Amino acid sequence: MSESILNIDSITKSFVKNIVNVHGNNEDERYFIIDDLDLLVPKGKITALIGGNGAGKTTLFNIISGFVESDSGTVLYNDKSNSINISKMKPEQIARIGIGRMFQDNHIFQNLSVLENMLIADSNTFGEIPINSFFRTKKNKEVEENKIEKAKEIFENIFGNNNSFWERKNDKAKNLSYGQKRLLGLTRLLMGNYQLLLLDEPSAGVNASIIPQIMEIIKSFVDDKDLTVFLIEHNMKVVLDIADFCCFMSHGKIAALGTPDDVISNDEVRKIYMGA
Amino acid sequence: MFLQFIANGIVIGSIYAIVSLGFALIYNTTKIFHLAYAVLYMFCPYMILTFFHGLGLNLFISFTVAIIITVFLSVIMEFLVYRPLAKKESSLNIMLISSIGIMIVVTNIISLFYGSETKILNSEISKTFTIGNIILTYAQISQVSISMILIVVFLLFLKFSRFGIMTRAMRDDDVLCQVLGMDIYKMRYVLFALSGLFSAIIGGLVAYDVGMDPYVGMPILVNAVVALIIGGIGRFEAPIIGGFIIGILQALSVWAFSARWQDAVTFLLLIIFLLFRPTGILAERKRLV
Ligand SMILES: Nc1ncnc2c1ncn2[C@@H]1O[C@H](COP(=O)(O)OP(=O)(O)OP(=O)(O)O)[C@@H](O)[C@H]1O
Ligand SMILES: [Mg+2]
Repeated sequence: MSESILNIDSITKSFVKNIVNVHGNNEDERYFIIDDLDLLVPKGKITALIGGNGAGKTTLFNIISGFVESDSGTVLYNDKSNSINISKMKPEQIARIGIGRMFQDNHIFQNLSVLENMLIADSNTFGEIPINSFFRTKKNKEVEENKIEKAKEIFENIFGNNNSFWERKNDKAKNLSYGQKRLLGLTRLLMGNYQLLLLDEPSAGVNASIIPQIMEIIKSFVDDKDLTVFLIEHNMKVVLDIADFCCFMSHGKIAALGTPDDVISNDEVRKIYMGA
Repeated sequence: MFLQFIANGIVIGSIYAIVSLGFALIYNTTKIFHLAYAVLYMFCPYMILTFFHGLGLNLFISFTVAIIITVFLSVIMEFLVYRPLAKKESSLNIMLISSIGIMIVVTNIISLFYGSETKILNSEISKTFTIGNIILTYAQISQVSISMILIVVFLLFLKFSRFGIMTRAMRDDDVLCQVLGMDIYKMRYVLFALSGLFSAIIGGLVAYDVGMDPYVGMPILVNAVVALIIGGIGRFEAPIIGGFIIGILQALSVWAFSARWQDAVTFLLLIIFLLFRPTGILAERKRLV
């Protein structure tokens, strides 16, 4: 494999479950969701992460993006020049050094307008001291105008001129359809200054007719913007179509790794995905 | 006479509106039921008392210093209590109980130092101002006009400034805010400061008119929370509309029945809303999923 952007090194994560044991007493049982997992995510490629429901894929993303702390192990993020240990960093710090994320369930600012949803995702807002954003100074206005221009361009590049997103820019985001929200969630990532994007099932729950569009967008992240994509995906067609590499997660470990074709022919993978 | 009661209603409504706005600023963004907010409303007047009567400073300076100290107290509450609890992922019920704890402690400290009886800030008979049949004191006029300015400035700020957008974003989804690189705990400090500011300003102005005791905050907060509910939780314009509705209805009930009916009207209104329009006046129809 080429150079890696993320080195995941023996990450372990367990949760505690309260059970009643054979003597009828309460007892805490520890169960491991991620068990000594190692993985290198190659730079400038699309890597897909697959696995059954509850395999711990989202938990792994939560660890990378700082929402969940692992029990042990480290995550190294290889920036352009140096390598940073992000295992103990807070979500907002991790976002600021260039790791963007899209959630499995639609996370969107429901009561903000479509345009405001884009503006707030701009990397210039990152790490800003709240007080600096209080006043509409001349400089703030200029920054804002640039951001609006940027948002417009992004919409036009992806959805063409006269796209419905720009037409509906002042609509509240909650009035968009589920699929439109997902598309907005994806496009928003282009407002930030990211190197690595973690996408949690971008094609989940959307109409089959939108899936090619979603695949186009993800491919353009890598081809046009030189980003790296780490993608959780249940739709095997999407994985086969766009992923350069594929890893299969099972029992808390990476059980199979390689090109999508290789991994799909793995027996355990076939059992889960093809029922065979 | 009727117009006089409407005018009184607007005065009291502006108090509810501002107090409710400060409460909503915390509730909508952090979901903390910040009952300790009630003590800020009475804390500021006691600070004014200290600087104005105790140290003999000029009235304007006393007001300013008292407001600054109250804002500081509001931020301290976040720093010492809510933030550590939030970091430990404590439930909102625990926050509520802690909030009651802060309220009791601060109230007792104030009554220990200043006594529980009513204190007045301004012993002169207040000058009045007459428009047609309506008589208002200068203190009431300043309450209404300062409230109006605060409301207009704040709503513009919320709509147009970037901090306003960030505040509304935090109301919608604080997890997403973090993913976008926002330090939500820094935001919370500013929000607590702003809400303390609202409470301090209006608390000081009202006390200058009618005096205060250590327990004045709670009844006002109860009305403010009802204002928030009938206006529509989650919206920042809601507490303002709710506040004025309650204020005017209370004044009218004094006019039609007697002053004893004031609180009954508030709760009647609350019950009617909870039964027939629990989402409040401003709620829009929303998609179910
Ligand atoms: N905070 C938590 N406390 C306890 N258990 C948790 C917690 N978070 C996740 N789990 C458990 O960890 C397991 C893995 O969850 P995770 O969301 O990572 O699965 P997933 O691979 O993303 O599945 P899916 O494909 O359905 O999204 C599940 O059994 C879940 O119940
Ligand atoms: Mg998942």
